[in-house]
Amino acid sequence: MSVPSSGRAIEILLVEDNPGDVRLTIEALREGKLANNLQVARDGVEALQFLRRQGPHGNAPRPDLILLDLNLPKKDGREVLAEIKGDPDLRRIPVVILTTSQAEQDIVKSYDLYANCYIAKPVDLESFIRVVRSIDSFWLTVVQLPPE
Amino acid sequence: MQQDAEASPKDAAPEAAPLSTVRPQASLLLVDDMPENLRALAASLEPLGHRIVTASSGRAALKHVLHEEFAVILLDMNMPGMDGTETAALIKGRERSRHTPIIFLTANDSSAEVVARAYRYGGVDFMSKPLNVDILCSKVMVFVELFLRGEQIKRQKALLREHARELELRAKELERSNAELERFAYVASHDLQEPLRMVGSYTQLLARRYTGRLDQDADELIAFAVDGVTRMQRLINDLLAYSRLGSQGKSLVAIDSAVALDRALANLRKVVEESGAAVTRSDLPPVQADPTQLEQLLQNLIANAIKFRGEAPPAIHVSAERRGPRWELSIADNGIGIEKQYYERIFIMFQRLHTDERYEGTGIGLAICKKIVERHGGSLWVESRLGGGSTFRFTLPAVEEK
Repeated sequence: MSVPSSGRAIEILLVEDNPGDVRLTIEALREGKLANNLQVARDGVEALQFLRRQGPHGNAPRPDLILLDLNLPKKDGREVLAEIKGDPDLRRIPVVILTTSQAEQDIVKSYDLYANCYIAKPVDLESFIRVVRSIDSFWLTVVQLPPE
Repeated sequence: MQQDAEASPKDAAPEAAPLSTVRPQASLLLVDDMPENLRALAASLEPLGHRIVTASSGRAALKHVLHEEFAVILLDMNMPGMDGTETAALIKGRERSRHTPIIFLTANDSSAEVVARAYRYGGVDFMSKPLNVDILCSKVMVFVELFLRGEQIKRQKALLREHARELELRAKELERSNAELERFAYVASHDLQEPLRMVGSYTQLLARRYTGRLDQDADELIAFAVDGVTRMQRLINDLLAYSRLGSQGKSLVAIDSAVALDRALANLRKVVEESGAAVTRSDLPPVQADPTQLEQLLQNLIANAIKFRGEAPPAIHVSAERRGPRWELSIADNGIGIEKQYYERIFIMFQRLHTDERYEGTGIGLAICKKIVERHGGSLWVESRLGGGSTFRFTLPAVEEK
């Protein structure tokens, strides 16, 4: 099992409003081999509070990886992405866009805003599990993440 | 005045009564300064059944001409004040009466010079007094006939213009509703995907986690649910792909259809190998097409030829023939063939001739092909015999040589 040098479990922040997708992601990660802590923010505002340890999230752990949906209530994923990448404290955290949109404009816009990668959620469960696991293994074992 | 009032309703609704039942009426303008001449003239022309308007001076004649269109004007040459030729010049000078024929009425002893003057001032004919009533009537009838025909042509022209405008409007309306429908199909299939993904994922998760752990009945129920969702996902994906053809199609460019065929075959490599299909081709031309869509078109047609194969390994031949400004491409196979009665039906969305067990599919492939070809302004059809193979033919615009 590969873990960051500190030896702690990997922290993942999932920003997703659909409970069905949250559960699916949890299920998919559970089937993976990596030890990780998954935290969930249900809208864009909550995601930023979590990242900045504001409000009820004063003790939130700093995530090693963010999985970000684009269509979110209150503040949508594009705005959240822009704020993360515009914030010197947060911009190093890799952001994986995980969304149902396959629209070219969303893909281009996300990369323009410095998304680290863009993934369209597969419709099929098997594929979805495979994708989540590959995110897990790529970003958390293959990639060298920045030190905190 | 009263005559004007009676004329206008006829003008207002010229199509209301068919020409065959109501004799069309024309107006004749008679101009002479002598009241008894006018009366006599009017009496001679009355039997023709047309509307007669009289004027006793050039000035009065001009007033009438301003308000009404005449089939012919009979104009006395010798009038005090404004004489016949002056009046004629003014009549001819006005837009509305420029083409109204004028017959000059001259004194018996008119010199050649007077006659020449009459013609010079726009007269089409002249008659000397005393007038021969029969000849007068015959001449007037010729011009009335001419006038009525002209009017009829004008009406038909107006009608044609009207029809053209209506057609244009209808075409615009159709275009609009078509675009709306496409948009609807796109939105519907796109938005349906989301909840369907949930249903699909969770039934699959259920199957994954509980198949074999409950009883056989439960396994079967779960299997049906998974199967149903899978099929629905396929349908919605197909619908989405179909509706994208119009909205996301690219403009037509000159491309080599042989290259498009190569690409299609590369995408089909696995199925071609597995089926042992032999795909041959004649010389294929460059065409005007959307490259992605042409590739998809060829791919769908060849995939079909392989899918609906007979006992023998599939033998598929792609060829092209020039048809005027277009190329006709043909994809001929040795497959199971199609009965004539289904030639049209196979191109309709989700229409299938076989069960899913026998030949898998949603019935979108050929509908997509048809839409692609139609987007290119061409047509797609099939020639086939049950058990004797099928040939799908379609036309695409040729590349114009410069």
